[in-house]
Amino acid sequence: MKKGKNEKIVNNLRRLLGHGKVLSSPEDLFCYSYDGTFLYGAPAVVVRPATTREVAAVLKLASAEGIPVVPRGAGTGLSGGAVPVEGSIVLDLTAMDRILEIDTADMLAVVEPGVVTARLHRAAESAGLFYPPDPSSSNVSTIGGNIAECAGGPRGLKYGVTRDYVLGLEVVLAGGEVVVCGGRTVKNASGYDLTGLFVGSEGTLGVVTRAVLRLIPRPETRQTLRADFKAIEQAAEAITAVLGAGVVPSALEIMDDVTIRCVENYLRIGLPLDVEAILLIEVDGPAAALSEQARLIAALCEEHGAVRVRVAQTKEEEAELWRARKAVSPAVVQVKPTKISEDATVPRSRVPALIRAIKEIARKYRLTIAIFGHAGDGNLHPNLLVDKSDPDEMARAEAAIEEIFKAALALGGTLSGEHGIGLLKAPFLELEYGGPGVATMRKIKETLDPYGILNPGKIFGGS
Amino acid sequence: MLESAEEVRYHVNRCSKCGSCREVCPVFLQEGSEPWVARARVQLAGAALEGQLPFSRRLGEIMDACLLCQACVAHCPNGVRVDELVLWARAEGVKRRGLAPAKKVLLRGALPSRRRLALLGRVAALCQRAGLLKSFRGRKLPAFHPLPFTRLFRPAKLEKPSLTVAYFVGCMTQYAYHQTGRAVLKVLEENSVQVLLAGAGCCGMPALAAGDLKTARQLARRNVESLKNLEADFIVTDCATCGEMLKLYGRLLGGEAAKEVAARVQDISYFLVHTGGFLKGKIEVPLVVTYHDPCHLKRGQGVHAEPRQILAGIPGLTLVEMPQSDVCCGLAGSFGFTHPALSQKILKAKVGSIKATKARAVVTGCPSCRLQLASGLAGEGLDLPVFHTVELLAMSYGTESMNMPPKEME
Ligand SMILES: Cc1cc2nc3c(=O)[nH]c(=O)nc-3n(C[C@H](O)[C@H](O)[C@H](O)COP(=O)(O)OP(=O)(O)OC[C@H]3O[C@@H](n4cnc5c(N)ncnc54)[C@H](O)[C@@H]3O)c2cc1C
Ligand code: SF4
Ligand code: SF4
Repeated sequence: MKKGKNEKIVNNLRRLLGHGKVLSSPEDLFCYSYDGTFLYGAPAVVVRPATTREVAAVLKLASAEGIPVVPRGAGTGLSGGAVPVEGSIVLDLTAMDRILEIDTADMLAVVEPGVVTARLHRAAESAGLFYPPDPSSSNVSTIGGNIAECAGGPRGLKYGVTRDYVLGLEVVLAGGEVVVCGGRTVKNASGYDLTGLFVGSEGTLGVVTRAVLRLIPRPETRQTLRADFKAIEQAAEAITAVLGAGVVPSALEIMDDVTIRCVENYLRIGLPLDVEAILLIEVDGPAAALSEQARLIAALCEEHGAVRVRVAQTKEEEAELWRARKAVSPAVVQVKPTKISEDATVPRSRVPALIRAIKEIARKYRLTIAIFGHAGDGNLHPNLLVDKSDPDEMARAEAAIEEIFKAALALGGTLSGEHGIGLLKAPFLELEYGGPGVATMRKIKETLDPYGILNPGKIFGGS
Repeated sequence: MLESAEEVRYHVNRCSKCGSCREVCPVFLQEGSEPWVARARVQLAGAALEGQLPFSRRLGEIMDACLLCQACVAHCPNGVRVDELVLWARAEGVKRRGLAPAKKVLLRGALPSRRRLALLGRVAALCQRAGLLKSFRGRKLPAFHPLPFTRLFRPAKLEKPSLTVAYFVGCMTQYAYHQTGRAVLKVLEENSVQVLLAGAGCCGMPALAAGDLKTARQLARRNVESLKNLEADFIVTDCATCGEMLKLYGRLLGGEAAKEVAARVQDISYFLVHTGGFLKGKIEVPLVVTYHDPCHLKRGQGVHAEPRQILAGIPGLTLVEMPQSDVCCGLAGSFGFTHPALSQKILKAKVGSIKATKARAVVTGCPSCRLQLASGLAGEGLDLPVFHTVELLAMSYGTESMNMPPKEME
């Protein structure tokens, strides 16, 4: 945006929203130039609307002037979705943070987009209910961001992802029109599934200003086990056996040997260094059924070659088992300062093949890659541990990432299980969908956002 | 002390921008927008370092609105020293823009001179007698004493002390909370520890926090000079902030003397529990209390179990933990006076946590927190006294008068 025009826009926004909700100093703008990735981009102005009407007013102005708008929650995204396009208006939605309703009869919550995920977890829990989607970032991420990225988490295998809990939405379109879709019912077969379309649309089709979210009864209790395997294939066979026996764990996390070594170096809690994989398995449900399930899982793991199985008997032991998994992020950055976290996802049965492929890629490009993630639903997080001040290493990392994507796709998987495409994966979208697939998506984008002002460049690249 | 570009860059580069600090930064939790969170301060420090942004007034404002409470540091998965990056940015700002006139008068005019500080204390006490200066910027002030603690009290000479310590009397004990100083002397005496009074003067933290490295070093050097020759096994403090600052002298000044002094510093509660040992209390103190963890004690010095162990050694006393006992009280040295509204909001949350415990008194290990908590409690019409941990132990030894709070809260 040109300087004169920029000033005019800033003044107009101030008139619309009031001074306190518009930030324009270079220092304030810089604080909105990043998200959870290594990317930066300078916006022209930041606004912090408090109501749907204010969001609509901003979008109306932006479409009239042809200025790009970048919706933003907590800025924890890992694909660059909230990184501003040059000269854009950043729409910080965190001021809209009310939980409007927790309805125990209809078992749903009505929330504004800026509500922090963990706050909803607590509110549901205190009403005896449960909101399952649990990205590791849930203590800070927003519901708006979760919906826009279709966030998942360890509970994905049993409980699904954000998409499975969005009953209805209020969305402001590019021109400022307010659309209400879905509703307060679990079933809804009326017309196109617009709700489903907006979930995972990364702020490119509309701005979510209100959400009706499904809640379910809170499971009575849970139990955790850890199983150590000499070979990744054994771990995979154990997983198949457990699911085949009709037990669906509420979490099924895997850590590979590199990850185990990082965590052990960091925590020194006696993790085995001679195994290829550790599985952390959690079951939840009625207390009466759980110990039987835990016994069955332990037996199946041992049958498939687990060298050690530990079942947590107390809350403390449970916390101790999870401690290793929770420490992965801080542990891996002890090795190198920069970690690039990918989320390649394949059908469950192909997890060992993907892990082998990634290890081969790590060798080829002389990189350290720690692999961990949600083995139960095939969603792995290969973390490339690099030093961003080493250009040679960064170049090798870039090439490795491309190969990882290709490997995941070749195994029948997807580029992203839960982080979205954003800017980082945009160049690869066509690999997954082919020309006609991407063209169909573009048509939807052009129909809903004819001026191309909503988060341009995200998903499709080239703003 | 981060000073070289490499050290600063190292910490900036460690930040993965994960945003986890949004969960804990008290300033952000009140203000709600990104510039007020630790992540932004780290990124701004990086941008200023690389010359992408100037050390502007706005940058200074954002850096100044940090409590240095280290909640982010303790929480950060990557161990980024956000507080040190903020201090670095403040110091760079002062190098370029100079100190604000009011700060200059206070930091360079008053702090380095014990005589002028004493004079200030006396003027404050006289004003209060005339009914003035009971509060400042909306904050109730404690009663100032016309004469400093070290002029009025002398430690007893013990026959066969087990250890000898130098007691570094901080400004707040020196001029306002004489009862803390008396309690420290009594408690150490009861436990056969010989006390020497160290020539008290400002520890330098106010200057360091304001980015005035020059004054901070001047004060540190002076204190090292007076501490290094005392024949004391350890140096004890009753102030969380002084304690953390004294421990920093080695890094701040370099050199053997400063390092040697810094290595001998212990908080009084740490000293009692781990070094000197302490006798359990004798007289019942029938009081339900709650304990506030000062930032500079818990995160600054890793001392949080010790005060609780001391309280557990007092018969009749019950400790009820408040939720989030280690969240900053909002004073953060001069922050409370430069950012009164924000400080009050943070304080209000703290007072809410205290109220939830239904305790009849509050205990803490830092006179600055005490000032803030007392002001916040009084502001809500709550008649809860605030004690330093050692004061309750002294009471239980029967060496302090028991000025007990009223029976019921509210
Ligand atoms: C340490 C860490 C761990 C993580 N773990 C997980 C995990 O386990 N599972 C997982 O799925 N993700 C995870 N993530 C990624 C990230 O937290 C999620 O993608 C999250 O949903 C982003 O939420 P946010 O509020 O930070 O959104 P932002 O990053 O601010 O925005 C993300 C996208 O949503 C859009 N957006 C935001 N709000 C709205 C709105 N109201 N309307 C329309 N568009 C909007 C933005 O334009 C952007 O495209 C993790 C991230 C970090 C840093
Ligand atoms: S300072 Fe630490 S917690 Fe905050 S964003 Fe950076 S890495 Fe994350
Ligand atoms: S030190 Fe405290 S106030 Fe400063 S950035 Fe960290 S958490 Fe926030």
